[in-house]
Amino acid sequence: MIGLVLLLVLAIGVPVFAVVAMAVLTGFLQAELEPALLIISVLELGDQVQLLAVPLMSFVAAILGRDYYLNAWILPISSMAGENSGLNPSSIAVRLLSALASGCAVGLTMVIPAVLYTAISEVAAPRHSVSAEVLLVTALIPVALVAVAAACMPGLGGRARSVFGSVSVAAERTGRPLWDLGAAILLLVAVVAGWLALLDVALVAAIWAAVTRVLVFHELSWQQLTDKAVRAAVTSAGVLLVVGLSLAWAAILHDAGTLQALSDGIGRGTGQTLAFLLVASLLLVAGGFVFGLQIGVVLIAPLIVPVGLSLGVDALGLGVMCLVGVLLGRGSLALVRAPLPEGGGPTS
Amino acid sequence: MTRDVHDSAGQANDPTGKLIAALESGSVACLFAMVVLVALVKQVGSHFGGLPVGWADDAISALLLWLVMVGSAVAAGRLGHYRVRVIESLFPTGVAVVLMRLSFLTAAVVSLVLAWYGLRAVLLELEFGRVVLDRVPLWAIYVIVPAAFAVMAARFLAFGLAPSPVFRLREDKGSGR
Repeated sequence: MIGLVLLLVLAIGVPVFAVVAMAVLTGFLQAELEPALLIISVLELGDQVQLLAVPLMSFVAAILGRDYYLNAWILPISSMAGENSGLNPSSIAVRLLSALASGCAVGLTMVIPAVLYTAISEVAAPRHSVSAEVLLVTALIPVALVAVAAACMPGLGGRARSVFGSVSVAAERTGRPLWDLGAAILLLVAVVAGWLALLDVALVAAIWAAVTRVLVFHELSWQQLTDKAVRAAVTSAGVLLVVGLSLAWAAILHDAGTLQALSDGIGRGTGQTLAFLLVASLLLVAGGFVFGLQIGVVLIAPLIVPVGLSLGVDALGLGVMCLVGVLLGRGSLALVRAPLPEGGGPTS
Repeated sequence: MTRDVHDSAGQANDPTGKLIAALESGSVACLFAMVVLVALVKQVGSHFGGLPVGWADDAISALLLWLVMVGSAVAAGRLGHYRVRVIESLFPTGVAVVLMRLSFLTAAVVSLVLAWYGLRAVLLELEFGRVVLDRVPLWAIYVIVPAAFAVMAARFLAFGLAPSPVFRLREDKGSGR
């Protein structure tokens, strides 16, 4: 009953942070805990230094354009792949380049969800937490495959061209995206090799984006750079506030054993595990569709991580499922919103 | 066609509004620059050694908390917090405005409750008397939490009770989150 009321409150447009706070306060009162403890999780937000990657990567996205990395590389190269059909060496090279570019592009886009998932899972399942770097590296291949599959899907060309609106802009900037691709590859290689943590990557990416756009390409003035920093910080603050409150939510679910009791009720057979994975996947796709990558992970992860672990699902596998699930949901939203291409395409 | 609701408060034209907006943006920009700088010093120091960066963790924690809370208060004034706009887009304009007012008033009440509990946490910390960064009392860092929630409550209350011209419903192709 309370869950339905909260869903209704969410649907009428109450900000997500307020709905999460209401859920947590209700949980505290039901568990007869001091509601002021809710504030502790907000106060401790600053202790999770890795979360600094969220405003930093948002700053990168604000400078390079919304979903830049996701948008700028997939389609131009996939269209090149379409023009070079067949199994000649150049076609294979282009396709390999497409996969590499997509992997790097989407990989950097997933830095924020990976950091957020790690922060949440450390509270929701303290004994099974995974590092954000390992999660990102493990998720790289399935995430890139999803992106490449979506970009190369027949019939999606025109529609996707509209979806990834910045593609033509990026393509016109001859040479400049190559700099970014080079930086993206270097950063991801550094993560895979263990030379840099995600916070280092976010710092380098932010400094790279600012320096290249202001000092090298002169695309932005210092005032515009400051405006973008403010916009990124304000947007990230909204996300991190939800994270802080969700940490309390995850702690309640963990301490009260609510989800453990639920998973005990479900049982531990193969069928139950498969049913859980199906439901969790649908929840994640729906979360990514409605809330986007960041809030989708923050809201859904506290629910599925404890149940999944109690059913014997691998912690790292759950993390990868979270990242891929919200990415699919986010991509579905982009496809639904895209205007139809002229002269064809599926009807909506 | 999707309908989106835009506030005029976020685009203030009066001198006071402009001053407040400039102060807000300046504060957020300063906090962001400081936290990036401290993080950079810490990461460089820890990777290459030789630099005493033990203070950096406490500084980053404090700055990150302030950035989140000040940014959240600014976001409240610009209607920048994440919201789902499913139902309000299905109803006629009048009903949508009522639903928006209801949602903002709900957010104001929740923010006020959080401000109250935040104040209690600060008072508790005042009794403990802990310090960080050598001599900075912890309560002075935590005080931003009730302050920011109180500002958010005031702003959501203002949106909830504002006269109807504040809400400008417009037909906007493909806009909104």
